[in-house]
Amino acid sequence: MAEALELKRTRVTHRRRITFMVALSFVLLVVLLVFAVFGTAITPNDHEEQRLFVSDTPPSAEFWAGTDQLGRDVFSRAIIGARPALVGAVTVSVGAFAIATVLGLASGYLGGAVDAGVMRWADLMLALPGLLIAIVVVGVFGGGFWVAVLVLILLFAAPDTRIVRSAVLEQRPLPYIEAARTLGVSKPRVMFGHILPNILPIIFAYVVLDFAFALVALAGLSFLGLGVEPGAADWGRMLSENRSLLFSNPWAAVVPAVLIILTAAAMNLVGDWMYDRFSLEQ
Amino acid sequence: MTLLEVEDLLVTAGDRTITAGTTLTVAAGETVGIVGESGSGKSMTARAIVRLLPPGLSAKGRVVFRDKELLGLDERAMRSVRGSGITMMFQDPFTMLNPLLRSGDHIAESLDRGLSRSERRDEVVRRLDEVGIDAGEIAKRYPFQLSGGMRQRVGLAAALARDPELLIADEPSTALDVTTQAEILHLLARVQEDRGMGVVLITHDLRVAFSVCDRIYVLYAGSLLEVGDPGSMEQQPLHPYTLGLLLSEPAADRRQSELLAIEGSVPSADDVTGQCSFAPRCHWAAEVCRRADPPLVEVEPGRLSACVRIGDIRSEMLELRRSVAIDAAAIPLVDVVEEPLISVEQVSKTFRAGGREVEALRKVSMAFDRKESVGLVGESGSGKTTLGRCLVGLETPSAGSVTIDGIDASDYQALSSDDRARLRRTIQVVFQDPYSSLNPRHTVGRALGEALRVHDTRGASVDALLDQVGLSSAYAKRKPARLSGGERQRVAIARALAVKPRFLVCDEPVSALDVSVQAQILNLFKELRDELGIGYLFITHDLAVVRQIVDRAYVLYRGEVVEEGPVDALFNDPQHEYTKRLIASVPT
Repeated sequence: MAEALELKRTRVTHRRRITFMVALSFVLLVVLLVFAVFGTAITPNDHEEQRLFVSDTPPSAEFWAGTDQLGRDVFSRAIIGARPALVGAVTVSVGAFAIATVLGLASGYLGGAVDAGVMRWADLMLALPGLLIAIVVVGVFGGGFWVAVLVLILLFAAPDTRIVRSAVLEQRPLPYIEAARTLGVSKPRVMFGHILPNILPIIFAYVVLDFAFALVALAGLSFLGLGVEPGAADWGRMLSENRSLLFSNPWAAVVPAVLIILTAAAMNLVGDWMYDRFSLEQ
Repeated sequence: MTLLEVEDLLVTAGDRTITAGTTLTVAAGETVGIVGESGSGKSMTARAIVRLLPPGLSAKGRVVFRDKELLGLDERAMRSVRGSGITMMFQDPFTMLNPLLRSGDHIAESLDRGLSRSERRDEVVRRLDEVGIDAGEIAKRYPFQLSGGMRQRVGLAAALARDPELLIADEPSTALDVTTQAEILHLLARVQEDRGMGVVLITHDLRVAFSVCDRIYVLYAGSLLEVGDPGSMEQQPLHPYTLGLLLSEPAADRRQSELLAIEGSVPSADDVTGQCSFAPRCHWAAEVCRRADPPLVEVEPGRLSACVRIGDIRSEMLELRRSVAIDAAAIPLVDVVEEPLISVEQVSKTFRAGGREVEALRKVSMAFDRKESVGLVGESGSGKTTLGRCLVGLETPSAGSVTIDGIDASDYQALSSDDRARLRRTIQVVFQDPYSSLNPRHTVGRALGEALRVHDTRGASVDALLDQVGLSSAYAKRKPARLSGGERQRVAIARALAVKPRFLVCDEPVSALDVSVQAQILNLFKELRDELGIGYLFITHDLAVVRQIVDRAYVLYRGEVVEEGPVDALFNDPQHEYTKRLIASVPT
């Protein structure tokens, strides 16, 4: 008699567990948050002080990532840069989705003329070359960081509206929505009380994606000299200012570049994991 | 000759039990039925046999097919067993076929590789012919161009393409209409006989199993409770669960005063290990039942039961069966409707989709009186759901008029908000699928509270509503995910009752529920009618349900009312060809 045999088992639960990479991403994001909140209180050196006699030096015990052309501490400036990076990206992604959620719910649930209007607006926005518009607007009108954020919010809102709308269309024919309608529940209540909670995981997943895009877009604008004012400690700005130092102190450009990439990647990994977790909990 | 021998097949998901040691045999030329409700582990048992378990599940035990131990085979060797040795046929004819392959290609794909092009073409024709399909017409069509029954036939032909010795059919007729269901079962029986093939039929429907199987295994929450031949099992079941299933099934030939429902709902196998899995719901359960997992014991030659008390309770079970068999209730006489609560006149509904027009309803006229319980019978595509949706304003008729309580309800959007609110308080709806009719993010209390607030119903509370549908007030704090199907349907009914409606449209309200739970919900509907005096429109394909609960019924066929009348007359003396066919298709 053949003895009992056990088949190989695959794990279905692995997506919910915290993997090493997710844990690492969490740590990185927490560190960045600490940087953004405490800013100058935790920098080893004054990030704005110009030390012209030690300009353009490689990493040392005093300046961990060396100094830039004006002798400013690269490491301290990178810490200070966490605030505009996080604040900008979060404002853009949350702001864009706040608009998109309202418009998407309205167009998906109400349909008809509202739907047609909102969708044509979205088509129009999508037909525009996004980043180019941002460059032109910020370049022509000036106005700095917050104008850039506002333009990005408007640009990001259009594709996000489509995502929200399609999620709404998926929920709309479900019996629980029809039951609410036959009970006579008001339209705003159905939209915000019934549909919204059920599409939040999807919205959340895209907010996280938008965060990464916004981070890179804002850094790109700063790199081009748009958005943040000159001299500000901003990762994109640092990257553009210090790219000429690649031979004397490469760290001056590498540190902000790596931070941009790591932040975007970490946010994606954590967002992905949270999405899986929340939607599975349902 | 034994074809398949399964011994102590244990399916687990991690440390959770799915089935606790199933033992069964199939001989060549034999049809074996595995009967069980949702969560019984019947599908997973079948999948474990062909080694197609979903990820995360594992099987232990012995599965011997033609002297070959299958659980130990590597994937390559297993592949050669599937198809020509064992093959499977699935429930859903809509997802079982590849939408991009023509139906002939499905069969050609599975045929022996050695054939030439023309041989292959001839073979496809022959195979389609075997399942009663005219190949000339159908072989070139894509699955979406075929009806459910046709698809199921193509699926069967594809499964048989490699001439398997054993066919496992997992609910092959469940997703089909009654008339088609009967055809597929006959076809399966014929093919099995012609080929001398072994068949394992998996079903939740005891009647279906009785009508085609040589031997039946009754599975409940992962444990086998009874094994025997259908004849004697139907005559005298040897396990309280089998008896319960038989009793809770509504009779199609008469009205019962009350259905005998099994209390509670089906537990998961993991919750009832180390005891008789049916003990928590069993009327006869004693201390001995909860002490250990009872083994299957031969009670009579060829008949096994896992009930340790069967010797003591056998005569009681027989007595109960007899008392139910003679129970028949009179159906209230139908009054002539003079001023009906709801009248539907010449209603038509046409849907436009992709340039095509589909007529769902054609000049349908009906009338429902106060406190009347009316059935609307028809198969999928007959327009019965569309009519229900027109009544509650989810759909607007293309022509004709609907009048409810003196208000013209043909177009809800055109009504004043006062009139609309009055209609909502008059007519409410209960949907088929209890799994999607409740908002997964809202607790039961919140869902019911919202329904109460919408129309400011004084004096009603969430607790009172829950009590009305037989749930304790503790349920208010739960979310739908923590409720069973029957409990969800109770909550959905309570929500509809919150506005104190006078009429309920119930669209297949029990068809998604387990048989043992279905009877509870049907009884609840009966109670509510007697207590609250609510009228019902029961939209259903299930004639036995109609027989139990309505006084009068309309038969809808392709968007038209073909027959109407009191249920007794309709069942005993059907006039229209289609009604006759419907009634003849009920498995007995």
